[in-house]
Amino acid sequence: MVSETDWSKPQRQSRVVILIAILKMFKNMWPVIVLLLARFIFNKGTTTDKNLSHLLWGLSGAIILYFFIRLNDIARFFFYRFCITDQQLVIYSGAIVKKKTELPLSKIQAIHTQQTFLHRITNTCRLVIDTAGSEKAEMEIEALDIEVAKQFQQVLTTREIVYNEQQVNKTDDYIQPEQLMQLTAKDILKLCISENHLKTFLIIIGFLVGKMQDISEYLGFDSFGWMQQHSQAVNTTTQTVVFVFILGLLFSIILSCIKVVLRFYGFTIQLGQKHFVMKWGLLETRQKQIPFKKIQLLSWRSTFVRRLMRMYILRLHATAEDENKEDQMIQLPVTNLSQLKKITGYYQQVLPSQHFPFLTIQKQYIARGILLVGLPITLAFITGLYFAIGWYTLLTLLWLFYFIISTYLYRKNYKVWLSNEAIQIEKGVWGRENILVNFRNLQQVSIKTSPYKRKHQLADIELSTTGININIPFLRKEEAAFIIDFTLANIEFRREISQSVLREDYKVEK
Amino acid sequence: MEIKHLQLHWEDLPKAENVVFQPVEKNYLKIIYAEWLIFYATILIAAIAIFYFVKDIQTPVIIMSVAIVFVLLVSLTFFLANKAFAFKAYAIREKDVMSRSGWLFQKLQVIPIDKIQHCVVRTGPLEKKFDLASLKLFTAGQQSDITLSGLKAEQAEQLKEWIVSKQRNDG
Repeated sequence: MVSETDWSKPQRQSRVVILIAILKMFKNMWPVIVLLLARFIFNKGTTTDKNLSHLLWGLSGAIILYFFIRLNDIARFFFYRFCITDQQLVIYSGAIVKKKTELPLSKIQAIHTQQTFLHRITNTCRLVIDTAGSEKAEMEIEALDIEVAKQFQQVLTTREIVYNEQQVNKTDDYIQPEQLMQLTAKDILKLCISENHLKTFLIIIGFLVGKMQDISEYLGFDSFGWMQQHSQAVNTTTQTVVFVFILGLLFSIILSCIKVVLRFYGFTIQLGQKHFVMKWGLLETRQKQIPFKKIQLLSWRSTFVRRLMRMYILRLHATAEDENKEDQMIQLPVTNLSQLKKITGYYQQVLPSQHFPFLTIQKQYIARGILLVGLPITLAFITGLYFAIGWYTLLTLLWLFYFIISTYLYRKNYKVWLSNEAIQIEKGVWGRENILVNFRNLQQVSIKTSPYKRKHQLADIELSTTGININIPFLRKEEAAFIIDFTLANIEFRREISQSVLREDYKVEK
Repeated sequence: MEIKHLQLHWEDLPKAENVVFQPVEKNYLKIIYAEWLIFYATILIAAIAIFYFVKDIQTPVIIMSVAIVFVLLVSLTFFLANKAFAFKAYAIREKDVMSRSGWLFQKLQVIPIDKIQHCVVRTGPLEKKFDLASLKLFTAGQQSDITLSGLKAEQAEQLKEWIVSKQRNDG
């Protein structure tokens, strides 16, 4: 049992951070060392003593330089301290230049923990604190004893809630999160089956080609030539090609299953006082915490197979989250519709799709798509490929056919629902993606038209949140105007209409 | 306790398309022209330098072709700038700010005043000469800020003050 820590006094990280820094150094350096040594061994016949001497000096120089860069991580342990005052998290850092960072508790957006294998055996974890004002993590504690980290997390969560609610006397009221959802072995199996194995297969091929290029570059060994030479030696028949393809696909299936298990093993969602707590991972355990009010919008998607299985990947888009960084995204596998409704209910009590009729995009969307994207690309490919494969180039028309079908389906599946609090969009060709945004989270709305759209009385609308912009194309002009007016009325007169209901026949008269 | 259960009718909603827009100051067109002139003058100088140093392209056909393309491009730019200027306008409502822009591709942006994080008045050297300024309205979103250009400097300041006081009063 760890004694209560006095957070008003500056605290240090765990000593394990020194070990982590050293291991990180070796982890990052070993591929360079192996490649340089391999190059030396492979080119032994042509390498002179002078070359060897240059190589060794270069290698030693690189290692020493890297060691000094990494020394900063070790120095960080001795000079990095943090404490919690009444309303702020204070961080002291820097060996030569002293730095003091004061972070208001109200700005803390989420507190996450991560555990690599090394953290686990040393009973420590990495703590990451995100704030609304910055895209990157504001504060990272590389290693903290697990019990101390839990205390720290509890204190921060309680104080942050208290600060926001202005209930100064309730600092000790930390409520243990209750379990909301847990993935069973059957759920993980379903996730494995429904994973996009073809995508994994293509990634593996891309990875192998990349590595072969690296080998050719670093070792001076012609790996592509070697492969061509050996493939000629084997009697290539249709059966062998099919066999190799199936073998590759099987390997991809196994690999994507391993990926799913490593990622989603032990996945749980817990419900805190005013936040979700998510835990997952087999080798590297992660825990993320996100307050409800920091969720900007929700989206959930399912591939064709997952749609049949009624499985979804739900994403919670948080304030100032970087849309391009997958490790910052909060994605939860949800294995049935009732679970989905339960979780989304904390953001938006009733889904607009449950009670209201939908609007859809107009058929001109298909014609414009074919004219501006499908046809030019097809014509370019037909012309380009004609010189290489002759009249077989007409097979490109199959792609145009697929494009037309998918554009038609996309338009058919596109639905927009409005309730008196939120807007929901569903779209997709074979799979489906849903976006749900509460009006309170919108920052700006805009309406866009082009000469073609004006001629056909159409318009696009764009709804901007703090993170992403949601574009709804090819709406009828009156419908677009209605959505804009309705959205603005909801944002601007929320107090006045907070207890009102939307008339069900809101759809604009045709 | 009386529970209000109001019904919303589209007819009752304030409509963005009925708003009367305020065009930007006429002198702002001169600034737009001046900016484009500086841009094209730079390109012209670079093109003359290339033609002067590269002997192979000093043929009447190439020089004429480049000159025609250049003149067409400049004319088109000024034509589009003129048209876009005529469409450019803004409107201030009690609870939001609207900005209209474009010509072929038109866009109407609306920011609720509640969502404005802060606003900045900017005056460049050209704007200073014509006593104009731009007002940039920042929101919490990364791509949802808007700029109202071509305002009178005094008007921009007043508008900024009005937005700040409105936010303060509305809490």
